[in-house]
Amino acid sequence: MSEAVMAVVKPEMKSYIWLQTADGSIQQVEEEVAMFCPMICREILQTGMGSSKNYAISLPQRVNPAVLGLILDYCRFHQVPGRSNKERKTFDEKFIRMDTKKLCELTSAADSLQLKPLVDLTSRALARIIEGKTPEEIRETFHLPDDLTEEEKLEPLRNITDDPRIRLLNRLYARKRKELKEREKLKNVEAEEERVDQRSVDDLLTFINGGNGDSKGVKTNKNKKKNRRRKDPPKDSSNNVNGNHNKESEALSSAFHNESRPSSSCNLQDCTAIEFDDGDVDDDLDPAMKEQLDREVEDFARRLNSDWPERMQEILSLGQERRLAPININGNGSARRYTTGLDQR
Amino acid sequence: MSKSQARVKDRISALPDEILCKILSCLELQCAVRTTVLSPRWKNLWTSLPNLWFCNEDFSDDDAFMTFVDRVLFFRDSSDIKKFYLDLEEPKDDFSRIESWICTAIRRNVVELNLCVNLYPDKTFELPRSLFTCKTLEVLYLTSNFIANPPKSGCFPNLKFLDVLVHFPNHNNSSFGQIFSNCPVLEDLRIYGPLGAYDEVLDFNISAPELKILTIGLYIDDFEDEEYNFHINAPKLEVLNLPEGDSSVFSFEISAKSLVKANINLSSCRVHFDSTNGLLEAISNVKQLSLSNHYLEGGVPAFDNLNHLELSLCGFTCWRYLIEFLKRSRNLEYLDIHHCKGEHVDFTPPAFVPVCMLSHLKTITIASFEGRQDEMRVAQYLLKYSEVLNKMTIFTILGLPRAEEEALYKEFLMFERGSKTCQVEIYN
Repeated sequence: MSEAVMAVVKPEMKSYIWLQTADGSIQQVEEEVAMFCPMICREILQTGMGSSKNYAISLPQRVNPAVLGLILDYCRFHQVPGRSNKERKTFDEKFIRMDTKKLCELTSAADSLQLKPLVDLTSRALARIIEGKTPEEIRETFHLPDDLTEEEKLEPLRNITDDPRIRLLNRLYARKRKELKEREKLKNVEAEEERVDQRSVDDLLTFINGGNGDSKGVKTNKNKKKNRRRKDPPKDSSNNVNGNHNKESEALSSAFHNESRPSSSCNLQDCTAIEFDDGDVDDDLDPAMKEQLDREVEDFARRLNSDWPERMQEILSLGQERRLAPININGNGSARRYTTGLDQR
Repeated sequence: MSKSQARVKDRISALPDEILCKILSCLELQCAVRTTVLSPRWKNLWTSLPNLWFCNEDFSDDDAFMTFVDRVLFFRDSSDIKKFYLDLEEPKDDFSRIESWICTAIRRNVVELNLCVNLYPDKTFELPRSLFTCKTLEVLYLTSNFIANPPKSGCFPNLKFLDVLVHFPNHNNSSFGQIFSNCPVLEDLRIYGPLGAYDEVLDFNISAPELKILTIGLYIDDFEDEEYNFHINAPKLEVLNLPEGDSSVFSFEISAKSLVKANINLSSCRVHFDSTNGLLEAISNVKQLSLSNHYLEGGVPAFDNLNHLELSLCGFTCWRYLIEFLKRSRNLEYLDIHHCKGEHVDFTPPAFVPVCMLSHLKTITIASFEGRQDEMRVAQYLLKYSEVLNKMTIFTILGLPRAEEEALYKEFLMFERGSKTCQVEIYN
């Protein structure tokens, strides 16, 4: 009431809009500044709110008072019609200098107020921050959660790219090493001990898989999974390299370390493609399966050793393309190359 | 750091998908794809990026590049591709692969396609058929030595903008020109390129019923006696741009009653004079004309609608042409003269003052003014006899000493002015 009276008495006084943020605090803002935000503008026009303290416009939750201040600064500058493009650009460049935390908050708030030019500005700024950084650096800058699950904590090898294939391989190798030891022990020690050892591995696995430790159950799973992760060519010339496994795993680990920076995009593409989960683990109690596993592991290791990026991509693509066969593989040579041998299985 | 703690601080992942995609679209594609490993939230964000830009010079070797493109297209989700830019500098000969990429983009309803495939001169690349029949394509940039076999009908059903940079058109394939003759909704056509030495006549048949803007920037790399015939059937054409300087024989067959604006730069001394005048005749009903021709000869047709004229003049005919244009442009309101640096050319005032100066000419700008005697005489004449002139602006050449500029100003102040409201401004 008093405001209305005052408006009559002093017509040259500016009109203000009242805004309320989620924390309950209310502030008043010059009308032309507030109207620069589409969301506020719409509220005013459609509901008539904002003209007094009691009828303050409620702002979306993502807008806290601090960030509202920033947004209003932005609006206050840009709503003035006479400014040149150069002036606006200079202002924007200065305005955008803030830490990433504030930048994210600002983006979120501007988006909720539908202030598109500011969203564009902050998005570009965030892009500039991301540009040129490795995923590690990006995670650090933005405090992205480290999403590795418990299984991976079993891994002996560093798995920077979080590649599930590598995780699988690590598990195979861990298994392999264990079995080698056990085979030796078998000659000297009772079966019971072996079982105990195996059970402990089993326990871990069943904990992961969420099923019972029953070997049969696991075996069934394994069969299915074997199909899924079927890899390429058949008979390879690799000799039985039981003895060489440790060497290979070492060579592998060095390969992994060298590849710790996911600079090659093909590596990463493949990560996207892999859908199967970490429960995909073989439990080799059956000797025949063991043999098969040996072969596959050796083959895998050989490939990894020989030509890291190309091989990885080939293998991963095989897995992927087999599953998605109906899509997209037209007659071009490159696709063909990767599917040899698959059809035979 | 526990997981819950981590989540509290991770603000960027809390932003909605749209915004994260917006951020990713500001990044180079490789960088955007890399974000796939950041966390499950980011894993598939890149796969729906609608604009893809591939440049093989960003990669150290062609194999890596080609594999990257294959992978991106393969792992991308099924959302539409909006813009697809392919920038290949002397790529390996794997054209079938390149073709498959283009076809993928077309299958994904691409709207804007930019194919810049710079090949060795003796190699050519055939455009896939599906390119011509693509229903969603609206903008197409082609830079290549390519072969085109467009279908006779149903070609470019939605194409509004076509920009072609031609290298060494292949005469074995006469359908090259057919690209331009079958564009039902095309509004903006641009043809650029160096034409090589062919002892033949090249016919360009441009037939586009909705065409509004036509730009032809063809120039000869090698001075031979080619002839280039342009048959332009564009009944709705509004703007004609001929921006290139070194042109040989152009013969234009153009009916351009709807033409509003023309921008013609034929500043090579090899211009065939008849041709120029034929061209002027064809565009004589424009409202706005920018003409740059160093050695104009012959007559100037009547430009009854001409309202805005920019003349860039050179050579011994320059002042004569200025007067000719003024005489023939009854309704001229805005005149802009660029006079290239040169020697004194005699200026002979006409017997009768051009009509436009008496009733229409309001603004005159003269650039690259040196202060030579002939220039001063022209400016003096214009000031004296323009009766409705509001403003004359002189831009002196760069580096004119301050003293000379001031002397100029003083002299202009002394000139008689035909219009009471006229202001003269001199800038450097």
